[in-house]
Amino acid sequence: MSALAFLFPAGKSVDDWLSPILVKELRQGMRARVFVISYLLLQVFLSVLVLANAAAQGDSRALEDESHYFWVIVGFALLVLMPLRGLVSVSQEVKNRTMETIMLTRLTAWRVVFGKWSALFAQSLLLV
Amino acid sequence: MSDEIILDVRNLRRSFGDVHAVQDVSFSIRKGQVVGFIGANGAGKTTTLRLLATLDTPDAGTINIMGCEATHYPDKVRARLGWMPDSYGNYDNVTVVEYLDFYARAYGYMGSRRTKHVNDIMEFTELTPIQDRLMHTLSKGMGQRLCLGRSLINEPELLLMDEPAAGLDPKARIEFKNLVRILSEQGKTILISSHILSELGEMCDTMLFIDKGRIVHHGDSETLRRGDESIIRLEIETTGNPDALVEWAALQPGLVLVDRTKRGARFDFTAKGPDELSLLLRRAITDGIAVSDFHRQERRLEDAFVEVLRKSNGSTSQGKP
Repeated sequence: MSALAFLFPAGKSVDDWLSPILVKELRQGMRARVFVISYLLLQVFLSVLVLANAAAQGDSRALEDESHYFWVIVGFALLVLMPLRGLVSVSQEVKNRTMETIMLTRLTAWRVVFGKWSALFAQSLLLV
Repeated sequence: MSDEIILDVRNLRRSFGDVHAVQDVSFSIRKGQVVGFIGANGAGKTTTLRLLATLDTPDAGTINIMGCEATHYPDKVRARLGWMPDSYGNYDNVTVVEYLDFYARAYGYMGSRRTKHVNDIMEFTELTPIQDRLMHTLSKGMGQRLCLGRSLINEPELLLMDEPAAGLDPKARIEFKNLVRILSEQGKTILISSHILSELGEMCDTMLFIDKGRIVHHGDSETLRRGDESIIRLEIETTGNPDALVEWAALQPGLVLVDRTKRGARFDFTAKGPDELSLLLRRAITDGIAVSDFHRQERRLEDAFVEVLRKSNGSTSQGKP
């Protein structure tokens, strides 16, 4: 049996290996306004940074400032925005009483939390 | 319908502080039955259903679902039951098909089997044409169908439905009733709660009445409708003055006024023999009542429910000092 046949037996697909929560959260999260806006803003900022960098042409002080701004924004997205989204996501499940229907499935509390965390981590990677 | 007991509840109790939401509830349901769980708001329906769905733990009592003690082995029971709450949880930015796909994954369906299963569920609940619509754009009726689809995703043998038709328009109610009928024909056992009796009357084999956390009646809806067969509910209309009809009725033995209608009144008539009814009509005409309509009314489930509650409250208060 080849390695591929072992990993993906007949009737199964690649995404079957992913946590159901991860799949749902990625589908949901990447359509969320906060993700789209953060992503677009970061792209705009990076473009401005590249242009400013080109204009500065070896001014080491200016380059240092730009790098500083870049990390402040990335840090804000990673350390504030994403954890807050994680909290909001769990509290929404409880508030909307969807956590109860999830509890009735085969998913354990650990798989739910880990799925949510990994979805946010994947979205953060996309941002950076 | 089989004789196999699928759900057996014994001496179930659940309190929240001083509020005794469920008190000594015992009943059992056979495989393939559709059981209406009826009670006023706050009677204990949702608490009981949540206990059965293993979403809450009882203070005392046992819940045996398909031979499995639910409080001790909730995971085993959860795999075989479907839970449809009174309000379905809405997800932002998730389409109908993605929602069902998520739950199918969560119940362990893989690859092409999952895709087929989700498609079958959408077909059954008539959600296929709207499979790519976002959940928050669905109407109440569509949402309830989606919620039903979700509760069927693990192919449960027992379905617990908490007020599934609440807030639905008449068309959506009819569609929902049809789905329940098909599920019942497929042999699913269904416990369906509501405080609207008319919507349960046609669907259910048996009725379970709950009041103040206690089961006050468990029986089939036909027996309940028939009630005390010696008492006949009559509706009489007159082309003349309805007051004259009511005054005349007050003098007739065995005839008790229930309520007045626009052109007449409704009465309970205690018949001693089969000819009593025709004799009563003949007497009315002889006494000068201009009868335009005289018919026997089938007892409504609402009336039966009120009577059961009245009897139950009567027996409770008799026991009090």
